[in-house]
Amino acid sequence: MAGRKIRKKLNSTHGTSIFFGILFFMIASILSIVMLNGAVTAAKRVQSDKQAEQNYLTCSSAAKLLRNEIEKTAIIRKRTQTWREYDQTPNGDTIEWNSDSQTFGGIYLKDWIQNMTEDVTAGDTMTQTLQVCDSDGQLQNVTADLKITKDSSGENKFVDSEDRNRTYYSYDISINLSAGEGVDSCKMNVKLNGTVEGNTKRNGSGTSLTAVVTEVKYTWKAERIIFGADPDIKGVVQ
Amino acid sequence: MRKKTIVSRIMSNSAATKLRSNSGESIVETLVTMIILSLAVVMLSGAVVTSARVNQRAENADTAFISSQNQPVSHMISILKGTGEGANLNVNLYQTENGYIYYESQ
Repeated sequence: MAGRKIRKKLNSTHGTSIFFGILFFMIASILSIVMLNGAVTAAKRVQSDKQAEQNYLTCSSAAKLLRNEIEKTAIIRKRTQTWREYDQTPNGDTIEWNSDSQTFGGIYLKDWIQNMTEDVTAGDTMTQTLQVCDSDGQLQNVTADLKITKDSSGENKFVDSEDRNRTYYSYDISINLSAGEGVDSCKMNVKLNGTVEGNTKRNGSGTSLTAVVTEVKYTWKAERIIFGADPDIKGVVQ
Repeated sequence: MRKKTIVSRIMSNSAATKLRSNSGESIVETLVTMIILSLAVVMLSGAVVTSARVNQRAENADTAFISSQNQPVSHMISILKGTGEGANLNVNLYQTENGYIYYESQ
């Protein structure tokens, strides 16, 4: 009985009432509008955006510039301990901080590493906000949040036996860069792993020892630049 | 020849009847029509999104290609801490034909 009814209904060529016709038409219209709207929104999202592209280029340029500047920097702490020849006892010492870089490394990084190494109250972490900008204002400013962290894990260190076994640790650097605002903004992260190495030279020997020079050298090696807000959670490797 | 004439006559009669008919379609025919139309809309929207993606990729490739052919100019970039003081660095500045600017260390 039911089967016959269904078959009859399926084969029926009778129309429907105007009410159901309009209702069906409305539902179909709403569905099609929703689908087309979704497609247009998705299309807009992936559409080329000149500002976003320019922000990406500006941010990546600043990231590479900072990375290169830090990679080519070597900071050297030189401690010269003088010795009295007649009784062979230490006669004071002098400490010098130098950098072979005359730009970013020599101007900023040297002071920061010196402060973190010499000042016992400085702590194991230092943060600093920098602005990367051009003189003509052609490019948008890039904000760089720089974080220097002492690597106290013990893997990379130098123990100075001439200075009561004082230990020098390496410093890792992480820089979060951002250019632009809103949906067009671009964020990147640069990580640089620090290394520390040291050597000791003696001027003279035995009873004619005059000075002991200890040099501690800090250098950095960059990882890949990561594109994205938080490299620990997400991000595309550039 | 005669057969053909009969077939064409039957067909034209059927088409004329169909055109003059005021009875509706069956529900099965209506449902099949709806499915075909829905698939058409889905494919159309997919095509719109895909074409936008392809355009984006082409634009990126174009930018990269034009960038590699440009001659750089020397430019000064400053890294500032707060206001006033800063480290000045000379870089090679590139400008693409479609107006994008980027720079590299010298």
